[in-house]
Amino acid sequence: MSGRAVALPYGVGRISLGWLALVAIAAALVGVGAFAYAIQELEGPIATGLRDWGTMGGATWGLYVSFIVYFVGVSFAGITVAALIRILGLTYLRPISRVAELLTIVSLILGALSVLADLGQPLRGIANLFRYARPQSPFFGTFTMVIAGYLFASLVYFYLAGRRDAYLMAQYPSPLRWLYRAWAAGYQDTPEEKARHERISFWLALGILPLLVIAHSTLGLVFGLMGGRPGWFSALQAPGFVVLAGVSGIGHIIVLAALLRWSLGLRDQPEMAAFRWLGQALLVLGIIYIYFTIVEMVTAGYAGREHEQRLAKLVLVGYYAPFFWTGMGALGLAIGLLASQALSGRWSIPLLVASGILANVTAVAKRLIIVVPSLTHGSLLPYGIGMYIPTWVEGAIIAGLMGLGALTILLFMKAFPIMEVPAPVEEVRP
Amino acid sequence: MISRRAWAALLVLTAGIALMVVSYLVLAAPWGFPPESEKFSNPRLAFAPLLFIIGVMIAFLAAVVYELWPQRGGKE
Repeated sequence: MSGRAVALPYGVGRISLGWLALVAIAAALVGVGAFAYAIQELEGPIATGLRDWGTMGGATWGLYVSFIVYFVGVSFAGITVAALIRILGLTYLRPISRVAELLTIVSLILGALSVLADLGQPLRGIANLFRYARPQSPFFGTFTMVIAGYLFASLVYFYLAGRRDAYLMAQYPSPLRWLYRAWAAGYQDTPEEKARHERISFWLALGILPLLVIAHSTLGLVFGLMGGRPGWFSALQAPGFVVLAGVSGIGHIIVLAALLRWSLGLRDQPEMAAFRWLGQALLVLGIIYIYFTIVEMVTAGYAGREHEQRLAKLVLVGYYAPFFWTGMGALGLAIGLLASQALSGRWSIPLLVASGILANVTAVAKRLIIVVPSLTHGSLLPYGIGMYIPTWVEGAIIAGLMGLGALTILLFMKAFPIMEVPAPVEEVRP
Repeated sequence: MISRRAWAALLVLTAGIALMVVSYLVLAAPWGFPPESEKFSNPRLAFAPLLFIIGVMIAFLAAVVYELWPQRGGKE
């Protein structure tokens, strides 16, 4: 192959105008986010809308914590899909496994960066977390197990799953050959190596799945174990977090899979069976989440203590009602779109993408509803009502993080095949 | 018969799990008498939580060891 121009698979190394435009937009968002973060570091958290609750009448957690929960939630589906492919043998999902794994890693990194954005002194926060955290605390589970353990396990899975393609890519002449050789680390795609990889991937997937449930449950328990905070204290928080994580993550994967199919000009990859499976999974999880929300609201509104009833009323018909009903309305619409396709047996990628986007609107709105109202209106102490309005600095930092995620995926796509390479393909350019 | 590769991976996995168990049960868990005393609330060793996380990482590294362990003469 050496000495001849060859087309690398899945657009690797090919720079198009559309790709450049997307990179420019993502880089601009990162720039704006970095500028906003510099302002926050120079002026301190006063540049944000966050204030102490109680005497200062604010909320200590706002957009950043809502998006920590959101990003960590998005990470759920990626590694779950990758693990299910191995454990249940869902081979038609294989083409989306790499993008799903990448989504997990990127969203976990964004979650970690959101933690740093929320801390007044990030370096001191990190050092003290590892030094003094109590492993029996849900905070430990969330901010260290999730971000260190879960991220590391996902990186190991991603690295091992990519060795075969790195070996295949190293057969092509390319400036990144050294990277492919290093990644392949001696892999030669022999039957023994393939069998070994299948074996270890299965066990790794089995190890990651419980870690994943623990990680998302502890995130829910951070809120659910707060006995003195009406609106948070609930046994449904942990399972609710796991289910909503699945909703937002699968929604993201549907959108990414459709974008890949469109941008790479693939007519049959990922195949329709993969989209159908994702649609069915999103439908089931969406219905379960609606059920959880109804049970939660009925319990708090009908039989809750005074503060819980007041908070439920505030969310259902008061100040926070627009967020709540936007989220629930979006999820209801997504379920409607998915159910109509499931009942008719005809699945449409544009409708699935719309459902995925709507599911993520729900996820963001519901995270805000979980985090903020209990801080501004849920105190058991005789303080007045609080208020939280995010500033442009917070919005810009979150936009910057999203830009960073998009930029990472865009750059990765040009350096490494975003889908599994079926076999070495050589195309001679005219 | 268990291959050297599997032994090496098992060794790394065991080391990771052992570090998790020791860092939590011995260095951080709130054991003591009386059990509700705040004295036993914090980890007994600074950075014990970090050791626990390193234990998790080492356990998952066993998969890398299993796959990357050199193959002698083309056979196990």
